[in-house]
Amino acid sequence: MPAWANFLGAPWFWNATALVAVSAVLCALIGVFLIYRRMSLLSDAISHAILPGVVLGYLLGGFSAAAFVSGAVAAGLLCVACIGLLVRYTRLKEDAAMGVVFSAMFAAGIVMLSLLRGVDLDPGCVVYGEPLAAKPESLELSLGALLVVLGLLAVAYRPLLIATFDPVFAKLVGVPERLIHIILLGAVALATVAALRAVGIVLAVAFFITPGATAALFCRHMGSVLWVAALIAAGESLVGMVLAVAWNVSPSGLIATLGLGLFLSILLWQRVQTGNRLA
Amino acid sequence: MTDATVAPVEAMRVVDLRAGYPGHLVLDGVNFSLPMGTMTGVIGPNGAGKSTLLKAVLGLLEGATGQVSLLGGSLRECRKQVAYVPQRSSVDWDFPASVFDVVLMGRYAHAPWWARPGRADRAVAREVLERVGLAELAERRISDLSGGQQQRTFLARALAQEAALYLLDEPLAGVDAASESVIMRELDELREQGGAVVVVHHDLNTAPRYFNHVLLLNRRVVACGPVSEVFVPDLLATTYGGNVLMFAGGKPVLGLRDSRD
Amino acid sequence: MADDPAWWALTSDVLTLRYDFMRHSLIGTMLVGAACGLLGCFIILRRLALFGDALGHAVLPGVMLGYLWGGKAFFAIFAGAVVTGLMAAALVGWIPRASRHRSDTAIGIVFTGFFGAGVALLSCYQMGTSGVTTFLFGRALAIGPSEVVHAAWMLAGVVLFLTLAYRPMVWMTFDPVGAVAQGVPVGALTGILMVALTGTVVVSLPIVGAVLVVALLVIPGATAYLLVDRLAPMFLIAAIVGAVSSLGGLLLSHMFAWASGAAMVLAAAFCFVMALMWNLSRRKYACLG
Repeated sequence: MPAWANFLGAPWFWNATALVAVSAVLCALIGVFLIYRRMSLLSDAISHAILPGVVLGYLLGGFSAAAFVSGAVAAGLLCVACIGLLVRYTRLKEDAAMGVVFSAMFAAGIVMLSLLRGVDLDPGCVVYGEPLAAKPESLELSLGALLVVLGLLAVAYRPLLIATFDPVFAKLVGVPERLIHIILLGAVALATVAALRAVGIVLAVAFFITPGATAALFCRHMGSVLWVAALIAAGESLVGMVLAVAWNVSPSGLIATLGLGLFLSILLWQRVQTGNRLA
Repeated sequence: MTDATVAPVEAMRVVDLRAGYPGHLVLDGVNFSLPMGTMTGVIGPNGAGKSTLLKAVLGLLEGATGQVSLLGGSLRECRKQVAYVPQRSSVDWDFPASVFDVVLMGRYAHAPWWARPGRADRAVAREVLERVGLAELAERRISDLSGGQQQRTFLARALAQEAALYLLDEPLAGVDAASESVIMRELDELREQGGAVVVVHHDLNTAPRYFNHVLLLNRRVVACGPVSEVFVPDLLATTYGGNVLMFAGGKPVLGLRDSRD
Repeated sequence: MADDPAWWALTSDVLTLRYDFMRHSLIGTMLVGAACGLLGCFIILRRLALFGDALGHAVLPGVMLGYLWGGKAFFAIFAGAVVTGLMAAALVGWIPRASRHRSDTAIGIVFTGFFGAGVALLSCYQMGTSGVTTFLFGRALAIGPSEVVHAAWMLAGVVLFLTLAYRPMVWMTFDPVGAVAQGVPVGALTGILMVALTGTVVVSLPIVGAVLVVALLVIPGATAYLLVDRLAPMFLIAAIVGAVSSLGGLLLSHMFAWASGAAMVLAAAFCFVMALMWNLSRRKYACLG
């Protein structure tokens, strides 16, 4: 083994890689539904808006996972509710309402963080994650969240699929469309907080959207999009972690870049194959 | 199909229905009833509220008032018995699903929500695909279908529901002749088996041929009844606003100064 | 805190602009806030809020490259930002045409990929934690005379552009298709708007940071949009809200040791909430009357 690759034998590296891969698969599975429910950018807003909830959870709940997960979910739902109220009761359009609400909530979270020196959440970690510094509890949390999401997919795959493809039809055949929407919003908040250590808040969207969008370029069924998105997420995490540690750069930044690179490569290759025209 | 002993004679009864969109009331007091075993064409000018009527009847519009009974009961009681085919543009056809996947969605109400579709559900899906002539395309991705094939996929999904009342919103819009005849043949079949079919339709030339029952609508019901009684020049002229209609031998000739132009 | 004499001394220092660095940061942030407010009106009216967010993230790798290769020269940083910003915008436009994805998904993919590259570059060159947090969260106190000059030039450029191109811009904003038909150079104006936006984002980065720059772009414009019906006063109010909330945020940040960029955003959000309440109460009376 060459000297630069010594870390491949170290347990800390594999712990961090496991954390990143589990978080990435968790986000990618939820993200597939977000893409087709036109919630790509809403998920960005939610993932930013959870910050004050997480900090409050830390403060009030004394460092327990349950406290900051519930803080995150509450803040995420509050963000979506505020956006909805602004759109309904003012003439602001949805994009402006989103921009106002999530940036204000994120700023509130940053201010709360800057007041709480000594809490082991620093602004850098919030932006881009620090998987190499994560504790074992982080892996437990993201594994738990992944199990919850897998369980949801196993049990409620059909209603999820129908509600995503055709919400009106779903309502008519008795799928609880509204409930599914709220569950997905909560799942975005849960996944962001579970992946906070690994990927950070600002890059969370790359982990939500990009693997699913890449898989959707060539998969023909929703089921295969889910499988392939999970595989892409795991593969990118592994490659990204090895390169990031070898080059000593931010893992989540590198994985997000790799994700965009893979997406663009496949898309370009497809265009060259099919039409020779790029547009 | 519905059990013969309790089969309702009335497919749909609507009393004083008012519905529309925020700031814009479209349907202003709509009353009518449709018996079972009919194939009804909902006919009226653009903006008359034809699609709005279907959506309001199905409880899809907030703020709609009035009474609607379907198959002698409320929508909640007979959800499994009512199938709706929306306009094709209402969904994203780039969704990663095959024709078979979409048709299988029609079987949702026939099993508990957590259960995977069983052998019987798959058999029904294959059978309805055969009926609409899409058996060979079952594994085709829905984004690769023509407009007529997409519409037949939607019809197949509704057929797979094995409902008693079918509501279709412009199923023939932008559809090729072959698909049009397949769709009308299947709808006729449903009517012959004792079901009721309600179709929003925009082509006056084909209406008397396709339907045995007509609902003339222009924000209110102008007339509702058998085609021979209702599809007459006077009532059509009232529906379309007087002098915009011309008649050749008692048959309406389309291509008039419609608001669509 | 309030019974601490040192705290009062500091606060009075801030309010009386006793030191140069305070003057610089106050003037610089107010100039930037005003420029953001002006451009923010177009962002609100043309529904570009999420594009503005994406731009704030997508310029990061260009800023880093300009910073590294151009020796911190403003022009190099600006050029880098324009290059990656335009690349990201071009990709966001291309992906929906080349694939089945809608533009919101394209925005999500592209801006996070670019931002990830920027973060990787940041960490790669080990610019020290202060450098990292400056670009991500801003550090209004670190503003020097040169940043003030850049901000002044940028505001002057934006005002000049708005004065010269006011009528075609308004036309294009309300009715893009009609404007094209009437021979308004919509493409060129949109290009200039994009470059102006990128420039404003670049001068905002050291003050609010890449993550929160969207707030300075959107919140003052949204506040003005709630308050007035006509365009000219909307620009004026947005510029004032932008400048005042920058000032207020800076004071908050001094007095309570809050992160400065986030404090400005909260000050702007406070203005927004006030405007929202006024807007809602007026509507209530209108209904009753």
